[in-house]
Amino acid sequence: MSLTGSPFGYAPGSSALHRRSAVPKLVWLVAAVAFSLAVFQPLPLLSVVAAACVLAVRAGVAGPMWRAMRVLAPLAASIVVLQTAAPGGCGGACTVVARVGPAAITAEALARAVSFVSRLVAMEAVGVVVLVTTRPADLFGALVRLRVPPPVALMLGTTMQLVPLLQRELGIVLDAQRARGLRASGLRAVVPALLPVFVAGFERVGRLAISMEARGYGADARRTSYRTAQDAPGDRALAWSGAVAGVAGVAVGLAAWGPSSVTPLLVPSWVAIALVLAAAASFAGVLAGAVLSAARG
Amino acid sequence: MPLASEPVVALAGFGVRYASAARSALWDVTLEVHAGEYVGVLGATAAGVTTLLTSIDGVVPQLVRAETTGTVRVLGLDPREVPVRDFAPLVGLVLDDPDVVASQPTVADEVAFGLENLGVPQGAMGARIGAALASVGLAGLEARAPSSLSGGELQRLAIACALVTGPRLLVLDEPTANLDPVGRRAVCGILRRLNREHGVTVLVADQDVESIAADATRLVVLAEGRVAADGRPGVVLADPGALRAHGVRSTGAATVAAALGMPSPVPTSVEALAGRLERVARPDAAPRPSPARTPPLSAPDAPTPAAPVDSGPALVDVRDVGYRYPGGPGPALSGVSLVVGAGEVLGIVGANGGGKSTLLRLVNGLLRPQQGAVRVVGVDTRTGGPRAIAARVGTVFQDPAHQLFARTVAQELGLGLRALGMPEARIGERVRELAEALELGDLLGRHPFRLGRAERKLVALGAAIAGRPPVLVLDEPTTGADVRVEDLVVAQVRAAAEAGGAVLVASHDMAFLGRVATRVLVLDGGRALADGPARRVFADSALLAVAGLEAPPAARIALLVAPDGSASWPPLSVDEAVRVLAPRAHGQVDRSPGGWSPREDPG
Repeated sequence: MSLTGSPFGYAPGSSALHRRSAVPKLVWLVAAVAFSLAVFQPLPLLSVVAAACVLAVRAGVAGPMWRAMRVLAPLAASIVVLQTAAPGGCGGACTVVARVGPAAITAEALARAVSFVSRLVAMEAVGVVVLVTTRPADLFGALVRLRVPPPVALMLGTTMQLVPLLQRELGIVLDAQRARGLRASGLRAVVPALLPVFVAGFERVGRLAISMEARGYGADARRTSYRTAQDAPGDRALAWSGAVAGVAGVAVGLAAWGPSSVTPLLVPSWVAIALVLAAAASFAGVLAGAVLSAARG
Repeated sequence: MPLASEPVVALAGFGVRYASAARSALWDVTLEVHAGEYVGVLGATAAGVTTLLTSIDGVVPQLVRAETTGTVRVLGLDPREVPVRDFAPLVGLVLDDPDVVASQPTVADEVAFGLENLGVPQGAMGARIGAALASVGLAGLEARAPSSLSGGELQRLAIACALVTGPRLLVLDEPTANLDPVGRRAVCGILRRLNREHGVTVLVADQDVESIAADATRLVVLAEGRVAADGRPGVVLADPGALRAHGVRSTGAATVAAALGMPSPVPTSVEALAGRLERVARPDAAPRPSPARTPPLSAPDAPTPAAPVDSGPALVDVRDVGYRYPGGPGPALSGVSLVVGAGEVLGIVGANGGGKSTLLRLVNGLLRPQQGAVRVVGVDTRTGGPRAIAARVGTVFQDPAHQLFARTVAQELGLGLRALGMPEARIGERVRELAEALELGDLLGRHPFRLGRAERKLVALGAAIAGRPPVLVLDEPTTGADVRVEDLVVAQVRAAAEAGGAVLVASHDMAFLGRVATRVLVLDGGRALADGPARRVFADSALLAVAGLEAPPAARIALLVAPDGSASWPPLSVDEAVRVLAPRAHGQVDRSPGGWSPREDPG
């Protein structure tokens, strides 16, 4: 379950957050994700992001966190474009805050877009802080200690192991493209590279499945665990407080900041236009690159 | 529990045919393996070797769907009916890709996986994990992440994972592929000890016949899915011509012995052949160290030669280059200088991590030197664009799957030519030439990913040489290659050099390098340990020992038994070794006490 070398990989350190057991960190991560799913208002979500940033700075992992956060930027751009382009959602009584040619940007659509992006960023921020401050082996052990069923823990662990492997494969394939005088940067290079990467990935998964079964995976015997369950009392208290915070956060979030609480985002027209155009430019670049690559491939 | 006389593996008329396959992968195989045997399985790619091995514990046909015929019994059980997972305590399977055991967070977790699956109590795991790791020399690495292990360590971990459940039969597919000579010797030593001291029955397949033949008590040769030969190594390897017809190479020693007319069983290792020759049998004729007349090669701190004496115009100019990977523990390459001229084939050797791949990546422009400079056909890689470098350097990566992008083999061979702007008519002509030269004519319409690994390798080579680049860079081009593929690679390397190109080949395959390299660079810890004509480097036993390397088998034989002061000494290929030794075998030269006599050892 090594993510070494990936944007979400472990960043060695000796901070209090690094030293803390993986179990409470995982519990707090689940709590933050649940809260982010329940809440639709940007402000409480951004406070989660702020808290994660403070933790990252104190743990000395602000740089790795920033690099990891950038990975989802294209997805955030696409959410803004798709939400503002989607009509309706306000019962025919939408509030137009700006027009770009024939297209209208509504305050309701802007509110939805900001809400979705805020939720995405909140989940990612907490997830990144946990991943970059926790050794993969400790994460795996925490899953077992949290009594996650072995097949699920194994699936999660194997999937996380495959991510950096696929990234490494992609790097080698892009190198090969460059060595052959083909385009080797940008999405137009990535798309044709995906075939060899995924073929290699599927072949690897197939061999992994054979290897696991040949080593007895799925045998009738009751599966035992090599990892021992030992947590310090402080860790247990922190884990329980995370569980309580998660439940309370979801309850409060649904009641106070749930979907019905989203109000139209009334901003000056130039702000709305600038926001949507920036997202659209980024999104269009991604799409055009994909289409051109497909046409060339 | 099988009876003492009952074979561990018994196949009778066994056949396997994969769904949608044109022909059977195995056909009418009858074979018995008894307890305590060490059986090597040889065969060309697609001969059915992997199918045979994975049929032993039921992977075929249970996990890889296929129709089977005949009978198969393993430790008294039918692997077609007993679930694969239930064979784990009985049969240890090591696949040809050790990366597949790197799915757990630590080495200890990885080894524990098999015990957890079998329900072994937690308290009993530690001792068994420790014993398994100790048996493969990995004690002390329990807390390391498998992904941080070297290739050799990962291969040993794969063996430990198979061993920890206490199997009586160990089945291994290509366990020494991709390993440097040190790693290869370590794996072979582990298998030998498990077999000799612990009584584990071993069934192992490997394209590296030298590794298998040294320890196997028996060899089985598969050809087109059938057993073509089965017997003691000295008997099976005594007919190199017949083996070659099956796409299998014999060992260097056995080939030389057969060519010298030694009767079956022939000696299969260099040392055994030397032992059969009178000179070495004499007490006063200990194997010679590096010949005194050979001047010492570059010492680690000495400047490497700026240019070879007999090379053509310089095509690759590497000046005092250094490179350190971000986050790396130290420089991957440091202070390396070399010039490779037209017509040269530079073999780059060294242990894993020595800097071979880094040097190749600096030459083909994938890395830019942090210190010094690299010029390729006049282009500085720090400033030349990727296309300018790609037009001058053709690269074949270690894994061909990484460099195949097109939908058909024909498109793949023409891909780089189109990028260079060549007219379609000329592209078609060139693709046909390549297909003929690389025996890919029947595969031009196939998708590259539907080909076997060896054929993919040929496609990757064809794509690299399609534009006739003046510089060719090859990274381990013969890994997993059978005789046919190796011969095709050799032919293309020689053709590229004869056409005035420069070829740089990083390889652990010394026999292959002996066939093609005109010059050898030894890298050790990122520094150039030596750089000189291939014969001089391979004659320097002390130097090779320092780098953990061995000379090609032909050179080792000659170093032991054939004193000769000529410029062509020592021979580097088996053909050359035969030419050197044949006159002695027929009594044409030196019959003095120091010379070789064709008298056969009665033993």
